[in-house]
Amino acid sequence: MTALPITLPEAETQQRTTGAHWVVRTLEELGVHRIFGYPGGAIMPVYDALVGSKLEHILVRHEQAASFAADAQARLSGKAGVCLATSGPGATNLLTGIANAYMDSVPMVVLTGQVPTGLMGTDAFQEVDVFGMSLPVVKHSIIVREPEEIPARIREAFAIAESGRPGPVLVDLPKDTLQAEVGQPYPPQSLPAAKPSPASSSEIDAATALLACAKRPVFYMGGGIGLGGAVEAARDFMARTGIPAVSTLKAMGCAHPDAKNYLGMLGMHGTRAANMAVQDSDLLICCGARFDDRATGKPDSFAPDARIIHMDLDAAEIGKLRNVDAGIAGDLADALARLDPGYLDIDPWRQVCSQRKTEFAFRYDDAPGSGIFAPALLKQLSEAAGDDFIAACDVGQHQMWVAQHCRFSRPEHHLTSAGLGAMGYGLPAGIGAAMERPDAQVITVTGDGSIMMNIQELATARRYSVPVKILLLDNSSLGLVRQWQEYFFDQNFSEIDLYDNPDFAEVARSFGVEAFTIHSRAEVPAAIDRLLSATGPILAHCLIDPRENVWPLVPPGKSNADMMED
Amino acid sequence: MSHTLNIRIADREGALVRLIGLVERRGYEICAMDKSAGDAGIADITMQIAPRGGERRIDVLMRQVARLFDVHAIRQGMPAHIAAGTARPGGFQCRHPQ
Repeated sequence: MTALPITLPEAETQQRTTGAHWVVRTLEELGVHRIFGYPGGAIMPVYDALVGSKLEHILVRHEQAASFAADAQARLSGKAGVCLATSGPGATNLLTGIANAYMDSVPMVVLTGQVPTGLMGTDAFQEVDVFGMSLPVVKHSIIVREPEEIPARIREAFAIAESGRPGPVLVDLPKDTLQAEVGQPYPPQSLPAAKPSPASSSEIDAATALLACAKRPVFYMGGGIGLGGAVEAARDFMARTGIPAVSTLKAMGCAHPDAKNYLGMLGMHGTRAANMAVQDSDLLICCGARFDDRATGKPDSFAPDARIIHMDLDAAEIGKLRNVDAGIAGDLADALARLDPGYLDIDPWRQVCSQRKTEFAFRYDDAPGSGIFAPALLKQLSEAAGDDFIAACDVGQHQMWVAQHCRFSRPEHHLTSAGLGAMGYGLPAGIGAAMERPDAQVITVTGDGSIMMNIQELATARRYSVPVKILLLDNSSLGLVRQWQEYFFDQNFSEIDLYDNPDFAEVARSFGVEAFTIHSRAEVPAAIDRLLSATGPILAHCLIDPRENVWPLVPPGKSNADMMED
Repeated sequence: MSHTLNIRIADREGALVRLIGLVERRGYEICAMDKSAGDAGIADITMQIAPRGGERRIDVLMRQVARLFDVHAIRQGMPAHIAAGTARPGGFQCRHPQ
């Protein structure tokens, strides 16, 4: 039946303008094109206003997944990801994702519904003080009590989330603020955010003087390089100075994987060449890193003979865990370009580092038996997918294997829950990444423990035909915990056995996701082909040896000089 | 060792609890605190704090406070009411005047 044109009285054709409409309008104005969320009572006015808007709303099946997907989109785009949930349980389910974004300095704007202002503080239905609960894990947070303030507060949230050291900003929206009719015209846009300020000349001069007399310098790269748009500057610094370089988990991809003098990841599961270089160094140029304990091992034995240059956009990081000899606070690309020591007489040092890199390179040819050797599988997968592939990792042994054995051409291509170490990140992050970069090879690498933390998101992958490839490394246990129990808890294995996992391929198929299982090394090449050539979501379930461990390993509380090997 | 901090903040919802939470979370005990009701949405906070457990670097805490969006200025110094010569009974000693 053809609908007849209906002419409404003039008053009724005027656009209804409520606080919720202004939420949507402000997001559109700010260039947001996709948001991840889940509806519920207090946020319903926003869902009402979403109908007919330009925003693409992705309905996840758990709010935590909305926050992880928004996080991944933000890491890839450099712009704040947006997630949306209702008050109470919707808001509390976002908290893990907010903490994840905070720990990894990811720009994110989190919109939560709240009970009406008159009920706030009365233990109303689905009321939690998400503002208070999230205080330690947000860059900033705002409760908007006046509908007229919505555009300004949301713009402010984006500006804060994306400027300086990025981070999550929570905007709590009471239902009456969303429902109220707005009694004034929509306000004009505010000014763009200020650029980060350059470091002072005296700081650069002090660092240059230290560099000029160093004999065993090491360039210690952190996540701030990618976040601060300083990847090219870091590569140029490496090429110009020839200083041996190491990277944190978050900085994988800052250096080209084949770059000369690049030694790989440092820290608990870092390469022997990287950790030995840092331990032997007489000058550590820390750039956008924060001396995290997983990178440093026992802090007072970390690089014991090194003077420290610490460069960071966030002045609050300088000197937090290690006293510095020169601190450089400011824009990293600018600071790296200005840090020019001229000729460095460090050839013998480069040779030592280079020899160790060759001597201690990972080997893939000595795995016993015919079972699937996960490190070799990941290396083959990475090589087949090409250096521009995007990995969304979960947390555990597979996460460390990805960092050790995959190649990344850009830091944002390695999506990993580094600071928080949140199991459950991988699948929703892969979904967010594949939606943001539909033409890229996006591979979620997960484990049988991690995938169960957000397995419901297979439904989201199916619903939107997200081209995410899921590699599930199944060792029927919580492998990293088991490894620690084996070595540091006298093999007293406790609650790590996942012998009764479901048949993951069957589970995926029941969600409408293509899936298959492999058991042996001989099946790996065909599995990789099938995974990479699939168009829609697909899951490859790989059964691996439960006794396989991550090597090398710095025992907790030990110096990075005390690396254990198999 | 205790320190006195003078902090100027935007006097808006959540600013004070965010500040107090940060100081506590970063390993300091708040021994005494004073908030003045300022003009035009600005408030001045004076805090006497002491590290809980081991020593911590006060300059790092000050930079962590300074990066809060609500914080306009921070300095280490004398409690405002002592500096103004209006010390109240129970007012605290400032060990590190600027």
